[in-house]
Amino acid sequence: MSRPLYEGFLASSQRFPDRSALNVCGQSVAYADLCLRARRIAATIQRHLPRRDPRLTAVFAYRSPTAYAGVLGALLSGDGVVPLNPMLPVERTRFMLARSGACAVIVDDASAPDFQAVAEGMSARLLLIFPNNDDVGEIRESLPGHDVLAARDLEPGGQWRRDDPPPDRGAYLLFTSGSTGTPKGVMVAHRNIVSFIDYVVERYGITERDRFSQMHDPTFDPAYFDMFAAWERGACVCCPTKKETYMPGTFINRMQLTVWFFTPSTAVIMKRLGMLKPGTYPTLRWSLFGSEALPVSVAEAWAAAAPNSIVENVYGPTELTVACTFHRWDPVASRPYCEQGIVPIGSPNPGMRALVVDEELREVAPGEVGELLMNGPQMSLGYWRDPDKTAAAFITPPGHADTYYRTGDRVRRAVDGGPMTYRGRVDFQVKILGHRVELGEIEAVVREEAGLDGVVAMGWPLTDMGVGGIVAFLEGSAPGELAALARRVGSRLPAHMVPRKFMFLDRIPLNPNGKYDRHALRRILEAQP
Amino acid sequence: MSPVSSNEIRQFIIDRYADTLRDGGYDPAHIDPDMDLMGEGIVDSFGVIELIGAIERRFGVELDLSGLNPEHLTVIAPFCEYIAKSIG
Repeated sequence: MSRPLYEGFLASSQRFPDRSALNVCGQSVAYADLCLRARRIAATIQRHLPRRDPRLTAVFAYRSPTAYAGVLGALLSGDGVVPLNPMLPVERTRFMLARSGACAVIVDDASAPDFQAVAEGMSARLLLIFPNNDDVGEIRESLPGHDVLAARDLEPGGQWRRDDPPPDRGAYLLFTSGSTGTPKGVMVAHRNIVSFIDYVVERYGITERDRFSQMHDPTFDPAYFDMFAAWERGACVCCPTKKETYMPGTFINRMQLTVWFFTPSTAVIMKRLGMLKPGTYPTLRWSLFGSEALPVSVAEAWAAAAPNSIVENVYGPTELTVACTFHRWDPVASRPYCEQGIVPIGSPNPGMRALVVDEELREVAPGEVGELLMNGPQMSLGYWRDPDKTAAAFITPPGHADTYYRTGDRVRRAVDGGPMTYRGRVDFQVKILGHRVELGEIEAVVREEAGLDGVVAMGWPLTDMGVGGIVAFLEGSAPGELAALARRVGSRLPAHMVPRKFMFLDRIPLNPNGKYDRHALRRILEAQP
Repeated sequence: MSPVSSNEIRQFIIDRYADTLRDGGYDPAHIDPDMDLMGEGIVDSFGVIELIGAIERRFGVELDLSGLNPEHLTVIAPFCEYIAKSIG
């Protein structure tokens, strides 16, 4: 249990040197090759920064062999990795890099021009490594405040020395969007992620014959499932091209994937574009959904499209390391537990403990709804260099001796070993005319009555007292009889919960993590006359 | 359902993005059939799905893109041919 996150990858590289560890940009990278690339990066960090504090190396790369070698190289050097995403705005990336305090950055070829803009605003001196770029003269000239290394400057792989981190050292630092607009850095220790990986490779019986999807961006923690659950057992991580991310169905079949893991929103789009016809994806063994609520209609359509796979809904905030509750979808057994047309989030994996509490942090009765608190081996170290935010979110409830993480998610407490059901974010409860309203309940009714899967309800306009009413966004075309839809919804909801407006979009905008982007929807509302 | 030619679809797309094309220095009357709308920054990821929705409404069809080569997703000629074929 207590071993570094990269241990499984190293073992697989010994056992399966010639098997594909990675398929990216249309090329296959064998374990031995990826391992060598990572060792060279690690040895280079060790040579040029023998003493560094904090022990963090950033990776600014996107869907390239270097992006993966960079993550592994940072880890093999003994550092934690700070993944950065070239698709995010420069300002945000610069904030994350500065905030992390990382001393080295690994940059791939394609991201080099963007990185110059990031680095120009950095005051700290950084070691910049360009592992697949030999022509760095221009970069070196434009960034005199930093040390720039080209591919030819890398150390040989044989120079790498094991420098195993203690189990409590951070393995990765990810930034999640904070409600105040400032991203918060979540530090996940080796022991947290290793505990999670140990569990999932057993649960899913992963072998070297598996082929994993890698849809998640590296700045999103499910990516650490994709990579390290695969590498633990010698499986292959398959990364789509940018265009393939819009046509995931073709990607699944072209890559012969066996393990799929991504957001339900993407499945909603696939269903709408005719990509979930029964029997389309026979190679899939596991279909995992997470990061947002999974509608029953989507679970059913996916189960039919991937008939040889088991569909699971998994749940977990970054602070609890990728996923900490699991529910195996079964069209019959799951049904009684589905609420608001949503698949349950299931039960904690062994070792993780759940506590469902009221506003005073007292446990509610089984079957009651409250905020979910959890702890266990996957509970992360907290927010990086932010003791105040850490103290606010990692708390000791009255009558307990240990610390729990407050998820901010509302769930129904399990009854008799049944699954927990997700009831929306604590912040997604809005107050209308003094009534407390769950947006998820409105979404469920609108979904059913409109016969559309993609629905987001928002409180709007904002008032001093809460919100003035509800607006429903629907993904799809407006029906001819809009008034009839409003009537049907109105017949099932109290008046204050009936959307005042139904807005039809071809597509509900997604944030970079593939989840419905409520901030973008708010901007649409703000732009309305 | 009357068949739709790939030319009609092509024209619909070019009309839809005429302003953006002109802003990007392209002449909407002379668009290279091999032009990649996403590659040239004419549509983004969000725009792709909007475009598909717009085609569905304009021609009164429901598109099935499961047979399309992803690399052809926004390349004008093969994209329009695929849609015309799947509608016809």
